[in-house]
Amino acid sequence: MSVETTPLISVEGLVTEFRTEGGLVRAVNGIDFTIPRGGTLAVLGESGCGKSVTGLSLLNLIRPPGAIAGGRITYYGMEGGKPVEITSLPPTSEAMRKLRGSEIGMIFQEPMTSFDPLYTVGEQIIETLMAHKRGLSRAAARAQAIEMLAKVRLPSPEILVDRYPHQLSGGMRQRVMIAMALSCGPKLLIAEEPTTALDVTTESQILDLLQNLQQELGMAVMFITHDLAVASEMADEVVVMYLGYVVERGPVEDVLNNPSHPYTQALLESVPRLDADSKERLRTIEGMVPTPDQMPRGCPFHTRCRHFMPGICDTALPPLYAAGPDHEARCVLVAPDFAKEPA
Amino acid sequence: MIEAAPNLLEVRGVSKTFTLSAGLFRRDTGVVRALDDISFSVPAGSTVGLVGESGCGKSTMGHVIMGGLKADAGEIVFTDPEQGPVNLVGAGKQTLRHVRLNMQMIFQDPNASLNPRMRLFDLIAEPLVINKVLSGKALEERVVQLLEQVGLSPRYMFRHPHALSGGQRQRVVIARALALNPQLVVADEPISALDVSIQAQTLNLLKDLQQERKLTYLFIAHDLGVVNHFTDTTVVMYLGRVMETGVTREVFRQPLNPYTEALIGSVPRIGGHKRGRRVVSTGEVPSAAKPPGGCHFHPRCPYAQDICRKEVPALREIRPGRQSRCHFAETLELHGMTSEPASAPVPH
Amino acid sequence: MTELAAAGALAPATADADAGTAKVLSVRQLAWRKFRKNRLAVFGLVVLALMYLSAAFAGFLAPYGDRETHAQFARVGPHGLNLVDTEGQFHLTPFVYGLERTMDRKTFKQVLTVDTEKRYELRWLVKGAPYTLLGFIKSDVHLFGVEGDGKLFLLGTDSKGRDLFSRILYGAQVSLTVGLVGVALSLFIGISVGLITGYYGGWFDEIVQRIIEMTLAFPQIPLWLALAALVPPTWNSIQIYFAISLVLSILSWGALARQVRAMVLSLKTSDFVRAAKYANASTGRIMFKHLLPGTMSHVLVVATLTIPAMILGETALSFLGLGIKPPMTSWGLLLNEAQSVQVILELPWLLFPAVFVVLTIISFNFVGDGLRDAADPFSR
Repeated sequence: MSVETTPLISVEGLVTEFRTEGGLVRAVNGIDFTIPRGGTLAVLGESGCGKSVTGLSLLNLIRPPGAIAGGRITYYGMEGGKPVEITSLPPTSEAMRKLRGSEIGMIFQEPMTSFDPLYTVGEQIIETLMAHKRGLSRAAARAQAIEMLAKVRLPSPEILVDRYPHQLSGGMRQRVMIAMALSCGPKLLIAEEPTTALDVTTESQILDLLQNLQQELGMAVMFITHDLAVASEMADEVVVMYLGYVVERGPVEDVLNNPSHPYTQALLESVPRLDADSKERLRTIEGMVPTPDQMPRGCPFHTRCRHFMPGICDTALPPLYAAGPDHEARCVLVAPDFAKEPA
Repeated sequence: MIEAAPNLLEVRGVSKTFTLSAGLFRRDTGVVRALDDISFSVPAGSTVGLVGESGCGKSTMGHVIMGGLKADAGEIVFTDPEQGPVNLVGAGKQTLRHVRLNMQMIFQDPNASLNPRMRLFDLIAEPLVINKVLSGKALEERVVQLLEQVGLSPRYMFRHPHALSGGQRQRVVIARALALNPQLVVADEPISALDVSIQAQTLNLLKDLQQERKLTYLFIAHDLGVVNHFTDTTVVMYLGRVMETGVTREVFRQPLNPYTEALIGSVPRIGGHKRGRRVVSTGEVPSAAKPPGGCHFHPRCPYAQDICRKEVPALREIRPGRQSRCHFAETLELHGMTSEPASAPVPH
Repeated sequence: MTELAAAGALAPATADADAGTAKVLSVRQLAWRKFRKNRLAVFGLVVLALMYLSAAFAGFLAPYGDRETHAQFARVGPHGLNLVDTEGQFHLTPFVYGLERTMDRKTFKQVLTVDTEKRYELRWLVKGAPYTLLGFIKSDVHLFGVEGDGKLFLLGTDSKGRDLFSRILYGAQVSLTVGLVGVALSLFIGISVGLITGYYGGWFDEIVQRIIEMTLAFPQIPLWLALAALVPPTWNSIQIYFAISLVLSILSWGALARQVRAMVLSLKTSDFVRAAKYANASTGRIMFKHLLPGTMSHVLVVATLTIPAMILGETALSFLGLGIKPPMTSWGLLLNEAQSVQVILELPWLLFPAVFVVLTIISFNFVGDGLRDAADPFSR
């Protein structure tokens, strides 16, 4: 699958910090990636790796005590092709508000929290539409809302449009949220754990729906997930994060079939597979993710790494080394000159 | 495998109905058949998986076995090492108290199942103290030993659970469940609240403990990958009914029920393939309060016929050791895991 | 087992690593940390601590006894301490001027004049009216007073010539504690009823709930009045004191019982209570080891917020003449003297007790607020 087209959004050296009682915590520590038009990027990692904060940073939705402390996020999807630097826009500015929704949409794990329980789902979609499209009449907005509900394959949309969120099942709510996020035709959809709260059969339907809509509408998707399988099935490219750093990134097939970073390798081996026959012990990643105030020196993963080399891994942060075409990993084992030294 | 081993636990035709009530005068507004004629057996020393989506009744089953909920009908026969077979349905308080020394439960969310106001020592020692098994120095030694067995440092002993990570808390839950040296452990989604890398650690721990102590597990889960890895036999449930049972590997390779096929087909896989179109069921799990008539799965089943709408299929033995609740179990050609070759990644 | 061993080898390192951080704070420390963050709550706590301390040591802190009258000096307005005299001369020790009562020849009204000729210096630890401290220490030493014939009425005197400041301190002994006794009583009833109804439910619960609804629906003041009127006039002050606390708690246990019941209802289906049941825990153990401690932090908050209501209740009853009776004194009783507009116009300082009531109640509310934050130390 070729995705070598112009970028839709690029992130360079993004740093997002949070002021806490224990001092300044870097949730995102200088990450870079680009998402091409119509492409799909999966940001993969465990809880606390900074993947959610990355998503919110893209929308400039980091609220105090957090703040984007460095780096640049540039959006190239505006009409006329003029790049917009998101990081230079004030979070509450008119331009930023326009960008959210009409250019970049977002969906979350638990749809219920993003709905107002006092309004019907139709009213909420209409509200979104009218806020972003000037001069749209209420009747026209309602027609569009029904159209959107049909687009996310909800049965009898003209009835559902007048239902309240609590009257819908989990899967239906997720569909409505997708409809709402897509109502203004964004070119990028940020989907944070969109299927984690759903049953397997429903998850499968939602993933199918997202993929179909993506092809239909030609939008790019940024998948934020902890689920390797979801990333594998949905993404073109994957970014693996650990403690705020990108530890590995590349085309999804390369990264997941031929992982280069010990963290990615261990993660893959620790997931019990449906297609595996072995009943042996799983390989595990020992210990636990350090809390952000105990950020390890050097490679962030060295405290749990199977290949930990004292004096090397705990001194300096390794850069991203090339591990293949478009494939990079932040580990000295991948460094071209490393093989010469005895391990 | 199932036939040979003596069954530690046997569930026969168990039903459980919840009555819904509403309004000022608590009028009964409906019933939920949470468990509808459930039967399966758990051989000693094995791991049986209870799989299904939310609302299928798998957790209810666990609590009915533990005696926290009373079954309306059926038998639950536990082979107690001292008392011999005991029917837990309708058993007296004394019997239940005695049986529980040999039967414990691990809960899904360690945050909820550990009293936040108690220290680890008190939490782990509680079953021993209540049942007057140990006291004083011997109790303390036992708690230290249990902590070490679940891979926690005894120096955590006088901390409160909030000072531990989620994975460590679940280890405390496991230590507590094992304090009385039970034969059977009912594990209700023991890893689904944990982070990916912690899940594997916990599964390995459970497996090690099973080998060391000859434990029998009833493993309640929704994650098919985990069930495939961890269990010997599988019971697939849907809306309060058993849809299929059998040796795990066989069930996943060659399902004999369309619901099992739909479940397997729905699971996203790591394989380096982008998602392709699959045969998955349409629609969502209906509300347990208003299940469809006939076969509960018929509205979502691609193979449904007229008979499926009208008649409830019986859970029948289709092959030795394989049961399915489907009118067409013998004739349908269903796809399991074998239809897609496993392509395990090779780490360099 | 090798990997388990590896985990064990790693454990000490991680344990040491987090030993130095805030993560191993006890629940209580965490709660205190949260409480401290609420500045108003800390302010309230300090004020209350000062109030209760002054009430406990009222005899020592008050320059005069609570029943000590200064017949010639009735209706004296507050007068403070001076450091600079009329000639502009600075004095190291504070002093008061002498007071002289004369008759205005035109209006025939008693007029108090300040005699700047006489200066009385403030003295520490002077002997005065005898008192009993904390019920067993007899003494007649007062923290401060003025020498000789001088009088020190910081907040003025009432119509009988009693020092208001001293009486407010003595009144605090009743006003501040009647709430505590009342709350203790309603806590006891409320917690017991809440625990039992919440745990067992059923018809008993239904009946109790209806009774609680009735007590909550009753207008408070009339009921208090009716109950207080039942107190036999022959009772002595101590009996009346406890009768009043009982009256106050009769209407407030219901709300508490409901809150405890609601918490027990949610806690009893929680996994940790189930786990205790599956470990064969007895009903008593589940109630006292698992349910009760779970409600305590919340109960503490509710109790803190109930005390001010009770203080107000006592004030109201005594103000209406149905609560504390002389010779005992309380803030409500002190305010009782300021019932008519005429009195307030002439002797506005008699409203000073109200200031103390307000300050106390605000402080309790601030503390209650802070406790509410601290009650759940794990939330951020």
